[in-house]
Amino acid sequence: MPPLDLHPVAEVIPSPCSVSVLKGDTAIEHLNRTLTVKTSELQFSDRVDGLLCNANGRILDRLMVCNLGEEILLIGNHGVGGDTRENLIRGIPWDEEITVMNGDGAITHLRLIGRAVNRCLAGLGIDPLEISEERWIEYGSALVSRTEYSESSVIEILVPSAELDAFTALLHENGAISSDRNRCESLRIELGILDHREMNSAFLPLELGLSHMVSLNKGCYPGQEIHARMDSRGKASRGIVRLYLPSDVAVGKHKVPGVGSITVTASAKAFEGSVALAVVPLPAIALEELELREGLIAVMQSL
Amino acid sequence: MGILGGEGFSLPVVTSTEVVDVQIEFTEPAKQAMKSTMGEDGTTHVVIISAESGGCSGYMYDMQIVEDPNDDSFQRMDVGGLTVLVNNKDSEMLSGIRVDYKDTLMGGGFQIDNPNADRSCGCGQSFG
Repeated sequence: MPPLDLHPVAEVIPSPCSVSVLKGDTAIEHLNRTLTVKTSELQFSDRVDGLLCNANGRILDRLMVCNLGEEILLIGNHGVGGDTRENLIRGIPWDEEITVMNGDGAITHLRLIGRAVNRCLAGLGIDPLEISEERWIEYGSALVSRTEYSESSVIEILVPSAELDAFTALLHENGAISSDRNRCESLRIELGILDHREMNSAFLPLELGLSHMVSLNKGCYPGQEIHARMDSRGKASRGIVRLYLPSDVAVGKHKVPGVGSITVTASAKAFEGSVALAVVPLPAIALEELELREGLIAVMQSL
Repeated sequence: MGILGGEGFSLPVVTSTEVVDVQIEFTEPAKQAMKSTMGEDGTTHVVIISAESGGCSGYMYDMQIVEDPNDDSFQRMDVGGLTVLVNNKDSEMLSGIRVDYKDTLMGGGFQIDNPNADRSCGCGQSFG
């Protein structure tokens, strides 16, 4: 497998998202009843990432929760904001005043990835040591946080869309570049950053390696019985992997002889071929290679 | 924080809910349990049965004894001399339910059987 080829400074990767805002004294408790993670102890500027699941335990949305005091900002998956807001509104108790607002398009989510991201941040006047996974720090009107992936640290930036051009120009002045769509997608796949193509109702959290976004001791939430059962029985029936291929592979289901059905969720050109994310039957995860069709052999890597 | 200070946030999102005339069946043990719980408060207080998000199956039942809110958004029912209220927003989900009471040490208390539910959680507190 080729080594991860990161930009010497940083690349700016736009991450399409939905944006919702919750207002009300009990908004945090309302979220706590609904999400897979505990939100009830979130303090001002704290961050937690959780999932909204259905009663079958399948993923409806992934939400990055930002506690902004009087408001709770929810950054969700692209294209499902309306359903998430509907879901949140329907369950508001009669004696709680909670307002749900649509902020789709008002905020842009950027990711900053590279070998010298800290240098770029320092150029902006941000102390990289202040940026953690558990909270958001303010930079002007933007919010900045960090997510650790196995291959690299990724800086999460939320910026008002009206200020996007000016903010991007600042990043460029400090050595970052904006990459084309294919490069953004190949980086996402290589780093194992999941989005709406993976985190949707086709999959369960444990199939995608998202156990860190599922709390089994916070009490009931939609899908909890299924998640608890999967955990106690010790395994999911499928798992997500990264594939390196000598040529393109189509997104969708593939029948693989001797393995069964695999689902390729995303693919992008990379190196001399392509890189893809796929959900495969659990027994296949131990394999090093997968013959997708005659002559097309993928090298497989766990996320 | 300034991130919400800009433009692009819409007015509060509203969602339409169908309002139906609520019919709820109470078993004798349920009526007796409500009477005994409310005691003398039965003249000034009401029982509100509602649904809120959460639980394993999507929604959780809730029963509260509160002072009569005298609010038009509730439907009122007389149950053996006690007043039971259901908010219009919950009417579709809760109409047709049967409320029972089981006097057992484990898993006792009010039990709700809901014909509108596609599924319910093992503990009986949640439905979807």
